[in-house]
Amino acid sequence: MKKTLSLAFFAALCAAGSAFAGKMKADTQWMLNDDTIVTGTSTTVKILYCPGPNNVQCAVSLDGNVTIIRKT
Amino acid sequence: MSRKLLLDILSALLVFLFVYTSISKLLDYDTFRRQLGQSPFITLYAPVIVWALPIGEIIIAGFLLYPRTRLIGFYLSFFLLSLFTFYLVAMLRLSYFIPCSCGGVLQHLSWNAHIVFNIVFVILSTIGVLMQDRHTPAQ
Repeated sequence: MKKTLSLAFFAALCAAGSAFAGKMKADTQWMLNDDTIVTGTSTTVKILYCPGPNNVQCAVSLDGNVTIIRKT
Repeated sequence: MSRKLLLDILSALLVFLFVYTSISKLLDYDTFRRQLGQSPFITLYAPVIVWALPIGEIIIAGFLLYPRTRLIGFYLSFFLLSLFTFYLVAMLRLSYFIPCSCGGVLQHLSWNAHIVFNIVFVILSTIGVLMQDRHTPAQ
């Protein structure tokens, strides 16, 4: 039982660590259509600044040139 | 590979998934709340789901941690992952706008990849249920 417990607990610890590490990692910078620079994940930018159907370009990432268009 | 080891690995994978996604959702609470609020099917229930889902995932992970409650954990994992997979398919087929309410790195998956990802974990849960059923829990 101890070994079983340790494997599952190890997985739980790794998951918690990964989640916190992902949160602490610096977010991408995005330029909106009005040239405003905002910071956040693509999902955050989509939700906060580009709501609605994705048939027009709304923002471009400054790091990788990835536009936020998910569905046409 | 022994049955017990396989069950340990299956439960560890599911524990990782549930703990990671639940903590990611709670850490990014504002975004998660907005995403649920924009979801066309569950907007009304968003205030409840925003807390119930991550807490439920942590509870399922807790069940999976202990051999005595692991079978319940596998059943609940199967139920939750199946429900989420049906939700994804329904959103893809019926909804015009589809916000992603997933946590952590999973939000970078495409919708089809997300469905495949979920189906894989549904299969893992099913294997867990079938194997754990016949396996005497460790004392």
